[in-house]
Amino acid sequence: MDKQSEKKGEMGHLHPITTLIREISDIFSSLGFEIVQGNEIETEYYNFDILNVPKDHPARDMQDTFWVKGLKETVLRTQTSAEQGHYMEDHEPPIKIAVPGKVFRREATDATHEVQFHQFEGLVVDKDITLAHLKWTLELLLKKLFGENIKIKLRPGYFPFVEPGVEIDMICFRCAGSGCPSCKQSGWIEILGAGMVHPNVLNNIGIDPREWRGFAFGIGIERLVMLKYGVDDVRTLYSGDLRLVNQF
Amino acid sequence: MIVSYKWLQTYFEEKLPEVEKLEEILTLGAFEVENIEKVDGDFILDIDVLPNRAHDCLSHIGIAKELSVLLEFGITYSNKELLETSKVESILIKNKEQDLCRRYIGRKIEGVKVGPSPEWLKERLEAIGQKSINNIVDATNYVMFDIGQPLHAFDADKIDGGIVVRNAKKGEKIVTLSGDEVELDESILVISDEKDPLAIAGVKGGKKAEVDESTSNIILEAANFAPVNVRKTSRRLNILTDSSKRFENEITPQMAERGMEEVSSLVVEIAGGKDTKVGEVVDVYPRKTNPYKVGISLDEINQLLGTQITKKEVEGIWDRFGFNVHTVLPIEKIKEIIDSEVVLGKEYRSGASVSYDAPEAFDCSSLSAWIFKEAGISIPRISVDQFVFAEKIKKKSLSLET
Repeated sequence: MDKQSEKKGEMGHLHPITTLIREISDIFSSLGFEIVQGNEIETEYYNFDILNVPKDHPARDMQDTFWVKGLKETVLRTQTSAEQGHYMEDHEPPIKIAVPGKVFRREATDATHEVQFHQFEGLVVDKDITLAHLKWTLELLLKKLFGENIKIKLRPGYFPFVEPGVEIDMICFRCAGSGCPSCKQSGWIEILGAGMVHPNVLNNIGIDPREWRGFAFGIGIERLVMLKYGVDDVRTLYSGDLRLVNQF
Repeated sequence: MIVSYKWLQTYFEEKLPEVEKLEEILTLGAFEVENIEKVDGDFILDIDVLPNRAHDCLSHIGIAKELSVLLEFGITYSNKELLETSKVESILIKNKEQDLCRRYIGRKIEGVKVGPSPEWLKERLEAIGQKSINNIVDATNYVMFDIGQPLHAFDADKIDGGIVVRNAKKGEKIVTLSGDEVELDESILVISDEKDPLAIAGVKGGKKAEVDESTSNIILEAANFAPVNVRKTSRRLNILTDSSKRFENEITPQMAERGMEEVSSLVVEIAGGKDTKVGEVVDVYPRKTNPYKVGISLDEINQLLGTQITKKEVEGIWDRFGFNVHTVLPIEKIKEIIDSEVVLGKEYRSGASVSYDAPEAFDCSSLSAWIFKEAGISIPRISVDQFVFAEKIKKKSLSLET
């Protein structure tokens, strides 16, 4: 550190997670999405019930949950999808929102799992929306982030609040599909979950599913950061280690 | 779901694609294959069946059906003849909790010989990571992994009196097959005899009526237990089993019948002799479910997906899944039902259910829900919801004549 910068105090800079959230927000803003913030402490109703996940349904096993002590039916949101219900209750369709934020899961941490991570939720409700719109939107996003040459494929997935649900895989940008350690030799990387909004969700909110349709998606930010910058262990993103942070 | 490639192959006359190709086909069209392991002459696939399909795909036949749809292969079912039954000492089954135990089929088989399973059966079970125990227990496990219906076998001579399906008493204890003593309470459903619990319903069998080398008379159980109760019990006791996993994902009570036929045939085949006597099934099924019709229009599919799938393709997919497919024009169908007067003179019962009581009993809103369902349209069951759901029409349009 030279003397001059010591005197002025060195300029800080953004964490790669923040940088990526801002980058994605800009892309969605330019597509006409409103960027919305939700609540990190959420009721069970908005986190699960309204999203077509009834109590005691095996689908709840997919997300181990932190329950807030002393508050009835209150959770740390497990998914940014929890904002869907709030927004749709307060706004008439057509709706086009993107919700970045922190989510929490009660699970053991390892190189690819943290108890706290970031998601980027998207929700579109309009007339004549199809799965093709979903595919186009997400392909565009991934091209902006990873370059024009990427390819994606859709395969069946399950999230209770969409039907059909899809997992979206992107061709590995390191090896372009030939197989490498980044993609566990498969050539493809699982990148996000999405689907067409389940009519039950619209019904729960009082939007007529015969008139309106929509799509929704959830992107795991940490995963994208790890892929984009070649970070091997998600935990290093939260370690506060300057050797990592100062590279950005 | 752990699946054996060789076992899957038994459902098809055509040769299945190479395992790598099969993995790709399943992953792109049905479920993610998480792992493939080569085990002498077979491949073991770990298939991630998600909760929306766990009620029909946690079995080899479930995965075979998916493959049949994706590969356009026809499935060959083994058409076993129904067993000849003879007179055996009758079994008494009392179901005290009809909401929690939706169906209980018991059957007594006398004169079985308990011993090691035949090689093919051992091989199949061991391939998917199961331990072979004896031919009777293996038969129940095999059928479960084959078609998805959990089954159980009791030693008939160790049972005091008849079989009672009831809630446990507070403080009552059971020693499970794995030898652990478990304390029960009123929220836990048990299968018991006149004295003691024999099994934690849908979760785990108990020691008391365990089938062992000395067993010669057995009672086979094919039952259906309510999903939420099984889920709560297995979570509370921290006993997660292949059986509880299937019940908590709600399987149809229809399956119990088939499970009983398959397991009885297999028991006779591998543990029977010339003195073996197969009893009649005793089927306690208080509220039968009726076949349910679902409908979707081709336009809905294509508008949702942004595709141009043809009617022929849709029919082909449904047909290969094993559905009975019809094309109906909803309004015509509704007129036809009303004109045919099939519901004329049927009982009025307030709160009658569409899936259980129709078409034998109705109330007003269940009648409209049923008629629409027959025409392939699902509408809410309760009149106030029907009011919200429906569109307002002019008085003069209140007629089916157009």
